[in-house]
Amino acid sequence: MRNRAAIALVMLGLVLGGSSPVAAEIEGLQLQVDGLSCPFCALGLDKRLKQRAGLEGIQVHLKQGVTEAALPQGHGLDVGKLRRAVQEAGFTLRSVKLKVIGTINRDDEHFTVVSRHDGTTFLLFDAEHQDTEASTTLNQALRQQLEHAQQTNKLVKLSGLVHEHAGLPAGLLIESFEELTK
Amino acid sequence: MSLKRLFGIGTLILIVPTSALAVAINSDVGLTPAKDQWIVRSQLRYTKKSDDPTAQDRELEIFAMPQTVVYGFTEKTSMSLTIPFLNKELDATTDGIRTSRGDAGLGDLLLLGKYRLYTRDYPTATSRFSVVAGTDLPTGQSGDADARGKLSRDLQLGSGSTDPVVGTAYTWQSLDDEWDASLTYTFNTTANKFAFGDVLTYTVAYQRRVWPFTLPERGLYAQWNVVLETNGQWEQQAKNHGSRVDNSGGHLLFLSPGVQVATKHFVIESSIQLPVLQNLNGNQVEPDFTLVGSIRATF
Repeated sequence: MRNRAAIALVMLGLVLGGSSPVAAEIEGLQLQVDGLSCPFCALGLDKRLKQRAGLEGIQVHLKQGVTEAALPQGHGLDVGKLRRAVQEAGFTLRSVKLKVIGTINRDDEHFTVVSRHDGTTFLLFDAEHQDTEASTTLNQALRQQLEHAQQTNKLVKLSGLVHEHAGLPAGLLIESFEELTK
Repeated sequence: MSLKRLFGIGTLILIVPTSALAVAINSDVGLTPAKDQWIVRSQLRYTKKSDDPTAQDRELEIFAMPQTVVYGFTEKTSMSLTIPFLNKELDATTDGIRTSRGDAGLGDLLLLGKYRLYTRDYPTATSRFSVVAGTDLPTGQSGDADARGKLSRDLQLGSGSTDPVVGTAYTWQSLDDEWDASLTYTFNTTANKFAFGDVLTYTVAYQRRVWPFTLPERGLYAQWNVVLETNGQWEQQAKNHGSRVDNSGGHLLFLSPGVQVATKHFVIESSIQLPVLQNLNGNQVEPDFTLVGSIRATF
């Protein structure tokens, strides 16, 4: 509960006085889709992801159960819309993985990344967040990297799994971190 | 004309619910199309019946071309419409003379709704159960005649009656193989004081991918499957003016091997239905085989 309130405060801070997003960028979108098990069934997924979620360049990799896609320039990511599109195709969305390029913001102990072209904001977590809902702590090395990126206002590229937060921006479970030169 | 002459060339040609999805060839399945997805299926079914226990030595050939359109209203609810084009021809010997009679045209239309009740998805596999309900509409002619008079009911293109259909279907599908099972019951009603018997169909189908042996890590591929189905059909005796018709109804079981190629947009397949059990009432012509060719497309 305390954690959710803290996250809400972070978001309020971002809305009222946080740094405005520069150019946002989300790439390498990978959807793990359960239930997809024949080539003839793939077209329905392809259509729904285009029509409902507005994705482009959709490629279904049947053996892996993974669908790769791209967001059109300037379109933000709506995980709920993705989930609904997959559901309308008759399948189950297990996870969403992506890479985001943007800038790091911080309020108290909470970091966010604001993507470069569309301003989509992700709350940042590390792998421990998967097991303990209350934990938003980041490991020391990652914390230092994020702090440095935030203080220097450098562009970063983060990749990881995305999860939904009701009423809040989606969370990004950081798998890799890279500081970019602007 | 006696009832023995009216009947006995086999059971009603029933266009049973079969799937338009990429699965069993002669069975219905538990899968449903995506929301707003269209699937069309065009089949060619050639049936020959020639094993006649009577001196008439009757031979019946039926070309059926069911054309099916399926639309997904939601991811769980779909509607299908099947219109069969039929060509029936019966050769028989009467008083030492070999004669041929037949008819061709539109058969009875089958309208079915399907609702997916149960879904359990796994990585690259799924388990689904659906229920179907609908009706067979009397769009086919049921009073056609030739120069020798009115054709027998079995040679007519339609039953003349509106017949409700209910059923269930289950599918387990993975990248390697698939199981399907379905059960359908058709309540054949009375038209002009005549009713074909109710029909229960039951199927179990297994499908196995044979090519590619090893799946590519990325992308989609054309997939070759072998299919083996058992298709059973049990039919009640027909009733004419309330009396049972002796040479009607019975139990048939077919073993149906087939082959199928499935891609993202098309499925092309072929199957042969061979009778392994024929327990027909009275003197009826028994089926020799049914050859099936089919193409499905989605958009």
